[in-house]
Amino acid sequence: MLISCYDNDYMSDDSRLFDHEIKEFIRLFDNDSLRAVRAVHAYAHTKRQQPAQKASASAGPVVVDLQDVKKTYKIGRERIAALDGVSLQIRQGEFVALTGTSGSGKSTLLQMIGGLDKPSEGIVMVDGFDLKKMRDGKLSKFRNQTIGFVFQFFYLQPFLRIRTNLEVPGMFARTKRSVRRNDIQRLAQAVGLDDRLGHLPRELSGGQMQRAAIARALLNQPKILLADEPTGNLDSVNSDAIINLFESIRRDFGTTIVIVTHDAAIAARADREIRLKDGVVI
Amino acid sequence: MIRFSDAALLALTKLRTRKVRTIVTVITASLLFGTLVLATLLVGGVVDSAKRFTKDSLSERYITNVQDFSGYTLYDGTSPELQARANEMYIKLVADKKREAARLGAEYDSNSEQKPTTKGPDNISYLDLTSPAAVLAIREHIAALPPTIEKLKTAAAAYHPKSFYEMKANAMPGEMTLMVDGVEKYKGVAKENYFYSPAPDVDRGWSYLDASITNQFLLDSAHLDAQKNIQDLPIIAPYSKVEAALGLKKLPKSATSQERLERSSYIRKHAASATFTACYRNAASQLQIGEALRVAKEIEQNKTNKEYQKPSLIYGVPAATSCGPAIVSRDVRTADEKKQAEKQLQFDRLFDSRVDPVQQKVTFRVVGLGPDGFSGESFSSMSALVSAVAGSSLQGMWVVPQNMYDALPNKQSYAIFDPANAQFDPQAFPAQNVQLVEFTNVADAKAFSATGCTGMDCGNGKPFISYFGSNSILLAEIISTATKTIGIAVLIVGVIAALILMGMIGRVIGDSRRETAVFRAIGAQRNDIRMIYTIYTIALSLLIALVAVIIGVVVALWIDHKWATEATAQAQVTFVGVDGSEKFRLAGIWWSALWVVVAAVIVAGLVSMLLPLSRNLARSPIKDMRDDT
Repeated sequence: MLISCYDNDYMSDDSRLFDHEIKEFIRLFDNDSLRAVRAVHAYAHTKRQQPAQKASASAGPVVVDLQDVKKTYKIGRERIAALDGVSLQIRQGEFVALTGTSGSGKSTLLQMIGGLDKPSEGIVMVDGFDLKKMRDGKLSKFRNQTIGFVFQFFYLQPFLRIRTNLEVPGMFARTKRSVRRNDIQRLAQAVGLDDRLGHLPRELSGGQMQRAAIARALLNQPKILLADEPTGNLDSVNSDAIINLFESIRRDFGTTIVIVTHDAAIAARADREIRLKDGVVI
Repeated sequence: MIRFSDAALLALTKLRTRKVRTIVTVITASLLFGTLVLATLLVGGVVDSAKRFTKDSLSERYITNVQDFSGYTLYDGTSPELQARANEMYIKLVADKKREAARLGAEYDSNSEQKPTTKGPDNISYLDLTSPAAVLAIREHIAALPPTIEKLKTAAAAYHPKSFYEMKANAMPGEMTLMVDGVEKYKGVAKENYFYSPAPDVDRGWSYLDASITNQFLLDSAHLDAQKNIQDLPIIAPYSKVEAALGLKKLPKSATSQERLERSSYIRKHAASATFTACYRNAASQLQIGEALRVAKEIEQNKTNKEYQKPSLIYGVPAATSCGPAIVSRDVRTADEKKQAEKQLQFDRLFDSRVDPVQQKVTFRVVGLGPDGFSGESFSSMSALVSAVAGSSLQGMWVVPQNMYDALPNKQSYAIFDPANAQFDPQAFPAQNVQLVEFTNVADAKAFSATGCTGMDCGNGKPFISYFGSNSILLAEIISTATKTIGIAVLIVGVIAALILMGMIGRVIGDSRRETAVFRAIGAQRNDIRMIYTIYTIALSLLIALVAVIIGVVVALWIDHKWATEATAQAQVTFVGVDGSEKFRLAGIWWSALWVVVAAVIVAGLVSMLLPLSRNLARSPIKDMRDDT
């Protein structure tokens, strides 16, 4: 069945289906191979018909709205402006890349959106919440439910199995264990780690660890996924696979993706690139 | 907030981080707390054993011993009223004596009659206790006083007393000499120094005491029933004296615990067959014997002196085994001399009942065993320690059970020693009757005891009050003192342990900055972090407590194994009323103190966590994630 799909001349590089998409079809059609094959063909045809352009969510609502956001740090007697009047909007379902040189403020901007930091001036509205006015408890809940973080160094807990690592956001959300387990199973399949759930992080490769971190970030079905240099520690093959995963997540779940990256090739794959320099958008 | 089970999962995972440091910290803290656990186990064991050894005895009874030094406090020798009365009696006495002397034809010199008062170096007038008139006045004054026991009841009323008893000292207007091997030694034998002997001989006196207190010291009833010499005076004797009476030599210090246990068992079994014999002589009898010995010596010295004339009246020394009167061996006085002597004797009898010689052989049969007195050995030996803990206020005393005395068929033959016949004797050391007051609880007993005198202020109206009985209040005191001591030790050890734990937990929390930052980034609230570290700290503390308990138990059991036999041997000897199969264990569980130690471990851990955790939560997650990159 899988071989049939891959070999089918309907498939082209543009509309190539991912393994997980094929498996999903199989599952949906209860292993009825005939129906599944027909559905695959229909889906592939649809994809082929779509313009060969990056998917755009321009019609989606604004989920991130920054208005003249400034962030100043005091280091000794000096005041450093990490952000100096940033205004931007990101819509639901967009894949946005934040680029710029070191110290340009891109990570600071990401942290503002994620509620990890508060602006010195300006307004940060995310999913309708004014983050500047939110207290610590509500911000924590906001980060847990609305945001998913992916870090450059994965930050998995070394003494917890991958399964338990993935459960951690659900623990803070007080989700029942049975529900968490089901979701983890699904997510693990989606990121291709279903056979690694019982392993410790040190037993995984860099790419696998980052996929685990992504699955962890997706457990509570966040609206926005924020990734800070997610491929910074990976080779090109794994980097590519991670970006592919982001694209599929955006496509399948409608999640808004915002990544910070130095890599131009990765930035090119985003719907939109926002460049920063010296704390301002250029 | 995060569920407890999830927080516990994350917390317990932390125990697997930094394993070497965790192990070192657990061992160090466990050793500290282990010493406290050991202390509680040993105190618990000793107290529990002491209670078992004194079960059905004076344990659970709270009795105080009241001595009011009656000889010094029942009258005031400087009292003008009493002195005036003594002077009246003096005048009357002189007049009576003159009259009777004239009637009987006896000789009497009124100038030799001791006046009732004298002035001291401070120029204050005192009653002269060598004056018969003064003594008469004092006796009259004391006889008019309410019984001492009534005064005591009034003083104790506020403390809810349960019962009152009197430990009455035997009357003995004379002297008693122990007849070792049935022989009375008249001279050349130094008596044991009363103050330093742990168990003086019965010739120093004995007391009569209520059955409810003496019963626990009695021998097995089967042994008592087998006694044939029921006319002898029944007495509870010190252990070492019974041992000697049975012909046993004291065991050497090198004797094993087993040998001591066997000796104890033997003595209990055969004590009922032990007897003591003493010879009582009043002053007149002693004078006659003394005179007999002096004259005998004089005669011997003048054996070759032809000019020596023997006294016309010579008393002979009676047989050493007889305790009999001095026998007249020569009386060549003239009829007039004899007549005059008889008149004088009649005259003397009118004004002093003690002029006739009285002597009596008294045989005591052992009906009970009392522990010896404190030997002065330091508490560093197990024996001394057990002796102090399980000891009794009967230590070294000879006690006649009042009920057994009252049941004697020949009770009248001991009338001279009966406390009821005792008269105030100012020349005698005030061996006062001792009152005992029993209370229903420790608090009342201690409160009453606090009203007594201490040290130098004794004898100024306040009685001396101490605890009586094997261990009831003493054990409560031990527990109270141990509680305070262990409490202070817990505090000190707790602070030290908290500092150690603060170092370790601080490092763990510090090392987990990034983890905390990541948790915060993915939605953990501050309280979630607090719960995780609190569970971690409690788990670590419980681990320390567990290891500390194991250390304490192991060492306590080793101590018990090493010294329990010696302790048992001493306890069997010290508290002779106990069942011979009872073991004195040194290790036991004092639950309340143990829980306090465990709680202290947890509190120390939690306290040590507070500062590092608050610092951790106040940090910026971004900075912490950055710092480690």
